[in-house]
Amino acid sequence: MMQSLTLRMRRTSDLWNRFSRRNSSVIGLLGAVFFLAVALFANWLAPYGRLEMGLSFQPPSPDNWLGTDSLGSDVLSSIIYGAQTSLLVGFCAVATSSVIGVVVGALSGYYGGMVDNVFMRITELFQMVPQFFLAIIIIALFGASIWNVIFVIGILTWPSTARLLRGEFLALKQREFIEAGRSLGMSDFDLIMREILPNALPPVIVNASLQISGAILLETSLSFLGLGDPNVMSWGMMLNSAQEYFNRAWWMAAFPGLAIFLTTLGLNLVGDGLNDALNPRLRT
Amino acid sequence: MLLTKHGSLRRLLGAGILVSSLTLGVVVQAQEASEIEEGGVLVVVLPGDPQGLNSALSTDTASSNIVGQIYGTLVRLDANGAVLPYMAESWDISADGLTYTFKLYEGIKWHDGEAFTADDVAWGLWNVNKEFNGASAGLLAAVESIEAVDDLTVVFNLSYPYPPLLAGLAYPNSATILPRHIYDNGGDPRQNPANQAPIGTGPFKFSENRAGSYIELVRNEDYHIEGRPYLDRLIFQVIPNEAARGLALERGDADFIPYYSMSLSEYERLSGIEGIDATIHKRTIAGEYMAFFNTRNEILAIKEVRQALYHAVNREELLEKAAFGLGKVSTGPISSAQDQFYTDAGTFYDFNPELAEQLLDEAGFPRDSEGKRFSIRISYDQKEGPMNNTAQLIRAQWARIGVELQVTPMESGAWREAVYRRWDFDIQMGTWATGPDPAIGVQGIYTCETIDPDGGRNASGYCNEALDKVFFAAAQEVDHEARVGLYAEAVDILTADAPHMWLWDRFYPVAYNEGLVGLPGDPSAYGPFDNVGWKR
Repeated sequence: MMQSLTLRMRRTSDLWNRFSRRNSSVIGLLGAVFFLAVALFANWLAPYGRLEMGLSFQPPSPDNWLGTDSLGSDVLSSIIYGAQTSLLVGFCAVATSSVIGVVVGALSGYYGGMVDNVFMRITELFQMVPQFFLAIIIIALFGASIWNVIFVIGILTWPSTARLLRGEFLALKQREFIEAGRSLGMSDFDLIMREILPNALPPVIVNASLQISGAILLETSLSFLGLGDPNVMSWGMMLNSAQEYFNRAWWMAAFPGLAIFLTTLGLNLVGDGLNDALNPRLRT
Repeated sequence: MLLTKHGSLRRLLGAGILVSSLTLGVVVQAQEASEIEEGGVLVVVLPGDPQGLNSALSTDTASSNIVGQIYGTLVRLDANGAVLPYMAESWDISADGLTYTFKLYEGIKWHDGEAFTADDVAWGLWNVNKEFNGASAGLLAAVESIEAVDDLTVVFNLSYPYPPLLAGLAYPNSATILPRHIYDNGGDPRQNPANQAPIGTGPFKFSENRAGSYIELVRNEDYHIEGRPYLDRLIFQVIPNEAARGLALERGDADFIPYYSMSLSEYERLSGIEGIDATIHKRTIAGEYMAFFNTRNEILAIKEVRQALYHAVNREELLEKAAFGLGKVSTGPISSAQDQFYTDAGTFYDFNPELAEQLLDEAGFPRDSEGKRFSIRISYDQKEGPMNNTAQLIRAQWARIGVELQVTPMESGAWREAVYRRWDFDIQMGTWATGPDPAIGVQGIYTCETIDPDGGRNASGYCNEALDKVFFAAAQEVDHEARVGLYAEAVDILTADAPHMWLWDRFYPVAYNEGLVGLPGDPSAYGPFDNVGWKR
């Protein structure tokens, strides 16, 4: 008991050592944690309420640190509430895509043959369609609620997860410990869930962490085109309304743009760090 | 010596009139002709490809503007909405208001050289405009028959008096006169090849249409008004990006941004630039931004709830932040731009959140434990400029009285379908014409008979027989003073019941190169640009 705990602790510290080998990963992690904290405590952090509006087009000042937009909303507050939306979209969309991707990839890789064939053709179908345009069409048809946006992003990004996991499964299912488990009479379900999946997960986790920033960017792009949910604040929507006033109120575009840049950069650096930590091929 | 002095004095005087007429937006009259250069090119900005080049069939404003140059109408309007001769030299209205006799100008020719006759007027209006154009069908509803008595005389016989008819005949989007020899071929006029390459009687001839790029018109040498048009060529240039339109005008690549291409947020910037005149055009169609309550909704069916919601909208804020001040807070269903019929009578809904809360409490919608009363949706066409910001502002304003507003912008087609056919909305908003005459612009939105999923305009489902009586009486009344009184009565009833929230009376900003002279001050019709030219 004691032994396994120290073992686990050693593994964790191992992971941290490999993750922190690059300074950039640590900086990225700090950024991501900051973003997470802002999103989680948005209601306490934001200086103004969601629907509070004052004078429009106020430049940055002590009252409004980042200025106000065309409707008189405080830009800083909007960015903080927007972080919440981005976080929600990022995590929910990636959760959706991971669930679909893991199920399809696991079944496909484990059973092979007909099952594999059918699943992989469907996967290719999704990969073939230009993602962004499909997203635009689906949103235009079903309306721009935040849950539709999450659903669309989830539906569009699962193929990479599925293909990755399928590859891992194909390699792992040939290994001796699986043969052993099978000869002991373990069921397919047990083999997949308890033996192969835990070993196949690391690349999927790395992929998911990179997908989060992708999902945030996709949501931002959709809102930028005016296809976001108008009932929740989002960074893309802020940019969308800012584009009309570029030569009048630069702060409307600059600060949300900066927020998007820093958040996606942070999340990507974390993804790279996780890749260092979890990828067995990089272990030395 | 005396002569030259006199001449220069006249020119000076002419220039004075010219400047004042420009600022007032009055059509430049013949006496300033010497100030205008013969020839030149005018580039007009279009927001996108027009819907087709036949206004007898479509009512789209941009295409009406183009078609108004190629085709003609019987009469035209000046800046104040007064009716002037155009293809008809004179007209006579019988004392009972039932017979309209128009005398046409002699010698008008179609662009292909055929002679224009009264027969073209009678055949086209009856068989094409009335059949295929909704606005036209409304305009001609009172007309029993149109007869060509001889080549130059056409008579309209009405079944009941309908005073708005005369001014209505000035609108290219409903009263364009088509050539019978081209359209009367037994085929469907909507499929006629002339819709792509129109042949008209107007000051400019169709030359070329490059989809997504530009439409070119050239001077009609045989135009029936002596010495017009001034311009050699007219280019309608498509510029989809709003900011790029202003830049094009600044650089001199474009000369005129009509109101339908004008971005409200650009107006202020453009008006400060040297060499550009930015002004507000008055339009006799007098558009008004309004929000329809769906009175079929069980909450919104209650009059006090509608009044409360109306009181909770800060319209000054909407006007300032969403429309950049380009408008005037509405007092009722008739826009203040309609001088002849506007009245500030009726109930005015000032911004009064306390009263709104009190009304909602009394109507049985108290705040719940979270401070919320109820939740409703607002739908609008997402292409309708200021509506996005308007919806966001109303959402914030109503949140303060405990009403949650869900904002649902829609694609144009989907919006029209949901609002007019399925009546699937709580509140919907946009801009509607209230002119040129209340019988045309106002009546059709409120009467019971227009609650009809097949083309009816009364989307709110509000039906009040007392109001209907007033409207029908007003439409048939010949005496102007009596009509004004009847419409004031209608305004009284409507503002008391508040089936709509009348938000603000719309202004129509335009911007153009200050060297231009004679742009039609009333672009309601955006009639012919035959008086437009460049200053010498």
